[in-house]
Amino acid sequence: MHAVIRPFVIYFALLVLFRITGKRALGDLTSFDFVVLLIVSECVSAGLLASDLSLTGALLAVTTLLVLDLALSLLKQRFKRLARVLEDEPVHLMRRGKLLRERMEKERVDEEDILEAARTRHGLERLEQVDSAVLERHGIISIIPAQNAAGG
Amino acid sequence: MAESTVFMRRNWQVQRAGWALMALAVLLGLAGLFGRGPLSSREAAAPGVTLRYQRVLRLEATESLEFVLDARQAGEAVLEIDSGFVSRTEIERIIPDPREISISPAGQRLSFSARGSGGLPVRLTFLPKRLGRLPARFGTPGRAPLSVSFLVLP
Repeated sequence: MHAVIRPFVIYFALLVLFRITGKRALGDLTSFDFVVLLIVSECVSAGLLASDLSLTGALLAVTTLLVLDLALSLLKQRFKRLARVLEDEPVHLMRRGKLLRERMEKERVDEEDILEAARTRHGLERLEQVDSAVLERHGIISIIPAQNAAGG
Repeated sequence: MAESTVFMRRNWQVQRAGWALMALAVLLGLAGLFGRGPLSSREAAAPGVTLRYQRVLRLEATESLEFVLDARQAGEAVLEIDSGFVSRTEIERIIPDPREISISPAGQRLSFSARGSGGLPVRLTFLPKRLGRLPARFGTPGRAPLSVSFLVLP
């Protein structure tokens, strides 16, 4: 029973915690973010299985996590509002060449993040070459180049 | 691209409230609200026994009780633990080793060799095995026992 209940509780607790910490938490991982994630998984593994080191316990816990993930993906597909609550929605950070400062501040994104995305994904060097920048649900910044960007 | 300003603002508000709650949880954790800290630390005494303990425990995590026992008679100190505590925990270790352990339906009776005058410190480590309130009684023979209550968190 514990091998099912513990993963269930941990799954939803992590879902809430990572949702609260925002999009930037998992998008564009730095090497230190990755280390933090490894530590999180280490902390969780003890609570997940407690003293049960059996194969049955491990398989039951993994199956529970996958079933929850599957069930939630089906629910999100069916109920769009639930998907929006659980996964957030894309946010424009820059529109028609203009930075939307309040949104950038709330989403903890700065000009350098937008420039980095512009450089790495489109080879653009300056903000004037960017028409729009969108912080996607999973934390990646999408860049739409300005019409004259190629020439710029 | 669908974008709702109302949702966006509510999302930011909920996130910031969540951050505050997470910070509060960390501070309360440091203070010991969830065990192992000043808010949870207690000391209790009854005739012949003094106990330092944590009021809040965690399920299946090693916890400890620190007793100071008065020697009942020359060379011996005795600690009685009620059956409720024994049945809801797994006692891992008792330091020093008891000279004798006797078991009865009422609980366990641990006898220790004691030398000299003054209290005998005894440390008992255990794992709580059930969630919720855990009442317990500890005492020495012929005297009113010490009643304490623990709260076992998941």
